[in-house]
Amino acid sequence: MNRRSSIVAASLAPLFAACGGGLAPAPERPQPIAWADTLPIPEPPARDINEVRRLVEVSLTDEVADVLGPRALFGGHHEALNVDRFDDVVNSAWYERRNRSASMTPADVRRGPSTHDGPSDGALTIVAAKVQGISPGFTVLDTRGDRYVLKFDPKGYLYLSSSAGVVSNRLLYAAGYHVPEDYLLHFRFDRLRVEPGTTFTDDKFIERPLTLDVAREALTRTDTLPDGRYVAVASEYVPGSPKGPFLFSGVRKDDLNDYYPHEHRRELRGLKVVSSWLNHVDMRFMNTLDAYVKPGYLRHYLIDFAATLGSGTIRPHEPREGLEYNFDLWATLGRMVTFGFYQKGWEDEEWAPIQPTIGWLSAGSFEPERWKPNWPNEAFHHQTTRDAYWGAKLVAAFTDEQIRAAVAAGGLPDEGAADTLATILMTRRDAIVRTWYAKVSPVENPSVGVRDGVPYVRFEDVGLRDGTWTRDGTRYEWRHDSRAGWTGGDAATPVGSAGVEIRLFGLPEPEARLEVRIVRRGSGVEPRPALLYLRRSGYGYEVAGLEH
Amino acid sequence: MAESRPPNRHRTDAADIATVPFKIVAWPINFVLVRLPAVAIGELSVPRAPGFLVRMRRELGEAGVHPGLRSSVGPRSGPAVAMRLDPLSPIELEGAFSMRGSQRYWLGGRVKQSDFGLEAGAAWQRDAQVAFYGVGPDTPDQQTLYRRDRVELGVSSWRRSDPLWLDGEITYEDNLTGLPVWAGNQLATVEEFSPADLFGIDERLRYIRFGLGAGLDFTRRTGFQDRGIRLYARGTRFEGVDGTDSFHQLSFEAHGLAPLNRRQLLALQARIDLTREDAGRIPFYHLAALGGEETALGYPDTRFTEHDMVSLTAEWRYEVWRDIHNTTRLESFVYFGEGAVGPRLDGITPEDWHTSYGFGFRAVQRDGMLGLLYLGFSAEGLQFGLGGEWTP
Repeated sequence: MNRRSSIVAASLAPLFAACGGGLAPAPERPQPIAWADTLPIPEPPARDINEVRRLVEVSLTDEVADVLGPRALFGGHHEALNVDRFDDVVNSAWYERRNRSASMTPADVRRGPSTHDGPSDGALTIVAAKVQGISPGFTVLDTRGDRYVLKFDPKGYLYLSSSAGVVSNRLLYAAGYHVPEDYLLHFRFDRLRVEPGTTFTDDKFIERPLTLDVAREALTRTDTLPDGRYVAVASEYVPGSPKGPFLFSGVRKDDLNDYYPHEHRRELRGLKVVSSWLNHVDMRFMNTLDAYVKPGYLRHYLIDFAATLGSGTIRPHEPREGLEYNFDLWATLGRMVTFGFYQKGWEDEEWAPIQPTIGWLSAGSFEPERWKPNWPNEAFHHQTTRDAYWGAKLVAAFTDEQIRAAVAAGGLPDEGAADTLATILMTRRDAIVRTWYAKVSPVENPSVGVRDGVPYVRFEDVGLRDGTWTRDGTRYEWRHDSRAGWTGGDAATPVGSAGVEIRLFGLPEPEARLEVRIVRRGSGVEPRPALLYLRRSGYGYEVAGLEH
Repeated sequence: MAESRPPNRHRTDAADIATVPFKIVAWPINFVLVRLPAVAIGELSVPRAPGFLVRMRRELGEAGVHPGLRSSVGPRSGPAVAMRLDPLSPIELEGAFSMRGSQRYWLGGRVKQSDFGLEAGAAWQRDAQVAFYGVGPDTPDQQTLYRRDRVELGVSSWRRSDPLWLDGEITYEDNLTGLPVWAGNQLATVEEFSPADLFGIDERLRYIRFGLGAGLDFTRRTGFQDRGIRLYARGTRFEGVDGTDSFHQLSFEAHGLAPLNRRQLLALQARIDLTREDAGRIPFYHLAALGGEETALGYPDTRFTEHDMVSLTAEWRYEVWRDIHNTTRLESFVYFGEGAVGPRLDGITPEDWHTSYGFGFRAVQRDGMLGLLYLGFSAEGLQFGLGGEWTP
């Protein structure tokens, strides 16, 4: 918080206290219930949302409010609403714990959401086509009757968007999000058929009959492999009936299960960190989809990952992407009033595609805190440090082997390119973990016990566990309701490789709030303390809640 | 179910309370400045099947009929509707009619290639309300208006062979001035500047114009920016017909474009216009002039008129926004200029110089400018300008 914010906040502190502050303490809060939003509801109609109108509004209104509004002066946003007592989220129509609760094998990660091997062998019948634009796209039916969207790479960049799309699809799935089944497809032109009566709209909006010649002409805007095969990402239609995109704010009124405003959902706020890892700069509502699935609820999907990693869909990514919105109000005004001398940092960066198949993706220069998508995203706007830490845990959960497995799913033709991409993802993962772990006290898996009549708390320091820091130079401090001053030093005992035990004298009854701070010498960062709610239970205590 | 899960709204805090008056004040501003434009932009950007107007425009286009809008067809013209007919290309017919009654019609043939252009045709142009402030280096800020009609019949051509640029023309022109159109009775023009004082008022003057220009272009384009030096000189001979006095014009122009980086650029421009009579007189509308977009944005077009003109302009041009695919960018610019007119260049004194400064925006694509918006300031006040051409 800057000085001005501090003064304003301090002067309004009594008012703040009178209003009751934020959420109720964790132990008093009811728990979210897993899958509570998958109860049957009446089928909502499909909806269409004017994207440009929304983008204009969020690019101006939200940006102004975010910088000049009272909440900006008072130092931050409300915390997410749908967290459980241990600062986590439960499984839902939005998110499933996958790689954390039961660590996936590399093979699981590589498989991702796939339930089969992609389009069946044989004819691919085009039932819809986009033949204009830089890259063509077809909707096809395979011989099983499964429906896919085929998307192709821009000319000169074979595998660029198709491979990136599949890799990100696998990683987002493993992170816990609902995604379609995306497959990398190699096929020869002679497999294509055209469903009689299929039309396409030309650049003058005139509807014309689609023929194989038109399809062949459209495919001249992409490259082929030396053996003449085309490369595409085949994205299977998600199960159920599509109902349009979901927004990153508010609730969908015709979805009776939609309870929490989306900007206050932890999994959507934390998605910013995952998106920063994958450089998913196109994380806007038009790349989402609500599908009405059995037994009758809306499942919320992320779709279309062509503009991720080093791919900007129709070209490689550039250094600006990830650092500045497409229309960045404050950056634009900043340049205007400083005669162009205001800079965001990307302006003079010399760059070139790492490889045509990878595009461009920063590694060493990646700064997770500064990352932003190409358009403002309401849920990302509301992200707090706690949300970011939650997202960082999702990213940290990926092992090197899992990342390599996901990259392998992208089918890059060159082993060196795959190795380079995997290494960049590992570097970005480590940067994310270093950045966000340092801002909190990453205490996890706490437990309490009593020894020699003195209660103790044990927890896992995930900074140690994930190799972000070592015990050397790490200090644990704590305080609780009966001891206002911070206590630290030798009373913290190492347990195992990443565990810590703290003996707690003078703990009040029947409940205690214990704050634990993990301070690292020389880091220059004062982390948020982790807050543990302890409650008397029998002869000892139990951990009733945790906030980071 | 709702009781068994955390509430879906936060408890009100101080920031929420403080936000209420902020929202009350901001709502109407936001509604007018953001929401209404957002709705309009959103609706306009929706890809949809072409409506009647679009279909009609397309049909017309295929038939060689191209309607459009222009910001200007001449001095003090105002926006104009325009039409181009080219069903027998390269034969074209153009017409434009402006808000203030200025008009231009042209019929001819046009060949345009990347390094060569040839044009031959006949034009009739009416500048309906041209401002005139008198002749001299320090005329008062009191404009009178006049109308200038002219017929032109001629051929012109240009050729580029890097770094050399050549152009030439032979044109017959027939000029007639008179009262302005739709601007009330501006007899003051005639009264104050009677034919005895000023050559060209209420008078038909015919010339054959011989023009020859040559330039050296050492600029190179990188992205949205040029860098380097551009020099251009042009001589035009006005050979009087039916006893009209003859005269000639010389014009010299130098541009220096020095980018600091890919987004900031210093542009310098120097221009000298000289007008010389053989023995007789020069019509006032063919004298050199200072003011307007080419010489001094802070002054209106032709604000100062005399035989010779010099202007020096420095412009700091910088990018404020560019689209994500690097196809369009918005530049801002601030400029400072000095300019003067006088009977002879060497007679211009320090008191004759007029200062102009201002700022503005240009929307630029890689192959040229889309539009211009500027505010120019001078000792005489403010000038606002909007330029561009739009074809629906």
